[in-house]
Amino acid sequence: MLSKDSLFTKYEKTFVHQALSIEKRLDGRSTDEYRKLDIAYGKDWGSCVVSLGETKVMAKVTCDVQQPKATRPSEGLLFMNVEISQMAIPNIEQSTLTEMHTNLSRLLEKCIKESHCVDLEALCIVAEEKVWNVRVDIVVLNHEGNLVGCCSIAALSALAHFRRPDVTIDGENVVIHDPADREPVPLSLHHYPVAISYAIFEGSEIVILSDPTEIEERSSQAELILGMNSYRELCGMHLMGSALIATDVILSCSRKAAEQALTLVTAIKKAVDEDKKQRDEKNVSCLVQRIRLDQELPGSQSRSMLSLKREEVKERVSEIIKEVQAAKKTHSSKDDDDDVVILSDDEIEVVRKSGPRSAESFSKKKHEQNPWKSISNADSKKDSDDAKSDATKNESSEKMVEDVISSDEDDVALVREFTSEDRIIGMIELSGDSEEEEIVTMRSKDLEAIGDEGKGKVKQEEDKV
Amino acid sequence: MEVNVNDVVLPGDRVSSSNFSNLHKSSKILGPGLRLFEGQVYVSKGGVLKQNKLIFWVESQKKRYVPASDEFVIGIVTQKSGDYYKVDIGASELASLSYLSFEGATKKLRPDIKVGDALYTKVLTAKRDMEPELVCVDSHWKKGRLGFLNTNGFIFTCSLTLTQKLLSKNRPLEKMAENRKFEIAVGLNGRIWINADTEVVKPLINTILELELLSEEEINKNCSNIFSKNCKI
Repeated sequence: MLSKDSLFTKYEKTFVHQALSIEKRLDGRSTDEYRKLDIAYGKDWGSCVVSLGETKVMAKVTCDVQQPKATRPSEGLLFMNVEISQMAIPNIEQSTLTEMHTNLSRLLEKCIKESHCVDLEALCIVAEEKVWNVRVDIVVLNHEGNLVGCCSIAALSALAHFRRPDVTIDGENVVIHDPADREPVPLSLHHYPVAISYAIFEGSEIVILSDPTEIEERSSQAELILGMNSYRELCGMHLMGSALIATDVILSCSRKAAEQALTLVTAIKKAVDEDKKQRDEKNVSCLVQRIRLDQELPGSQSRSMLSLKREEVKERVSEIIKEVQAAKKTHSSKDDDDDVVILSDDEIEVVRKSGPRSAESFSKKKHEQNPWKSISNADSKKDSDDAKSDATKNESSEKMVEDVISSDEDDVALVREFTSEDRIIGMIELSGDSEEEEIVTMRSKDLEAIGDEGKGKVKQEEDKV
Repeated sequence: MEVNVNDVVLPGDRVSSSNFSNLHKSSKILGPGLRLFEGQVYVSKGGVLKQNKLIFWVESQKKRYVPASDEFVIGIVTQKSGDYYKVDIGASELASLSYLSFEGATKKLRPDIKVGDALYTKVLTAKRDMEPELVCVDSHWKKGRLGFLNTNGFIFTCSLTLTQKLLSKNRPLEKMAENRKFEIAVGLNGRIWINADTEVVKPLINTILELELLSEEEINKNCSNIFSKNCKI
């Protein structure tokens, strides 16, 4: 939603424009990239919390039996209700909030109700007398941009998940079965429309951002919202703001939106399927279980680009351990071979002179990589160093890795773990920044140490110091 | 419930008198979150009870600023009314800032400040029953580092504890500035203004927000590392 209410608008605007001029967004996404979508279902049918980055929306579908409208006697009813409070959007005036609310509920109705995605005729029990009234309640929990998009995903995932009690008609008697007696039936949906929003910035050239954050929405000139289903059909369009946009911009937006809609709808369907699987295993989770402290604290959220995923860390560590072991083997075999061994890419030379062991010299250029690992960037070096020395410690390494990993995407803890070690400070000196070349001579016993323990690296650094 | 120093406390808890027993009765100082009621010390907000020599206070993750005199804050001008600017400093009330409390300002020569501008100001008076008053000069009527903040900068908010950490004796910001050039104003009301190259601003914000969960000691050791690492990404 376009709200010009923030105190910092003036400052944010210039900064966002500046960043966009060098093709950067505040959270490091590319222009077409969506934030992380998470759909969590609750215990009841049709209750879910959807979060798109830090925008959070809860939706809940309920139903009751009502008399149909006289104009449409054989159609059920669909009612949508949106609630936003100042809890979700602090520092906003009441009047702006009301305007936002009207806008949001109108857009959602346009996108979901008026696109006839719910089969209303299937909701009829007895024509002109009794039909199901399906009510979708949407509560905005936190507003961090792209509220329409998030709300529409929430409404749709709730509708797709919802099941109404089964009904049997016996002559004049209508029996509504208790969910315990008879399996409730899902709603039938014709198609899945989602609202996709774009922030449009006018400058020397037009920049279009999908899934804008709140700051981006505020500093944009216009916002384009497209309702789109997975069959590339347009179910609604709304253009807010003051930008003068050529038709081809809108066309290209709608093309992008069609693809985006497909991925979003796939995500929704996947979430519904997964929940069904969980329920089949009698493993029904409540929404309370989805609230985790490490996700709520500001420092642990994905806004930080530093965060590594658990799996990534695990993979990287295991890879490195393998490499270390492989390298160790080659190194030990090397000792028995020729006098001069040149490894690939001239990385290292091992020269053996007349004496059996006494005068081995181990020359190494400072900016070059180590023989037993070939990882290029400085960050992974840090990790690898950790892993390498740990590899020899076997169990303790696992423990330490576990420690790092158990912090659960808490990147701060990760950094803390590594940097608090002395050897890391050594590693930073080793990184490719330095053009200075240095030749280090190692004593033979150090080489033995490499063979035996793989700790040579640490010692080598000591030598340097 | 009776509580002691370093306990997690809730409003209404009574600080047990054993904490004060080794002090002279007249010499204890009650900081924020504590109040005296019928001779007993009660906790008035949730947090952790802390003590430093004679001073007792409750430390908590606050986001709402309560003005206190002599603190430096970042305010946004929201209104001009008569001889005063109304400035939002994130407190329950708007603060007032006189046209005349700028360096070199006279009745005829008013400072050129518009609505929406950010100012680095000092809280002159903060009383419970009055609106806080701000100034943009020090006691010698010099502006020093106070005043208008350039609109090229970026403002964001964080918790109040974080701003205190940034301004602590360790001077983490100075350590970060060893590698990259940036201009920063940290308001104790949880607002931070940064002016730097666009490439530096984002890693800087990330670094600052990451410091939130680190202890002072860890910040001291790691902040420049985290910052340089953030810059590389």
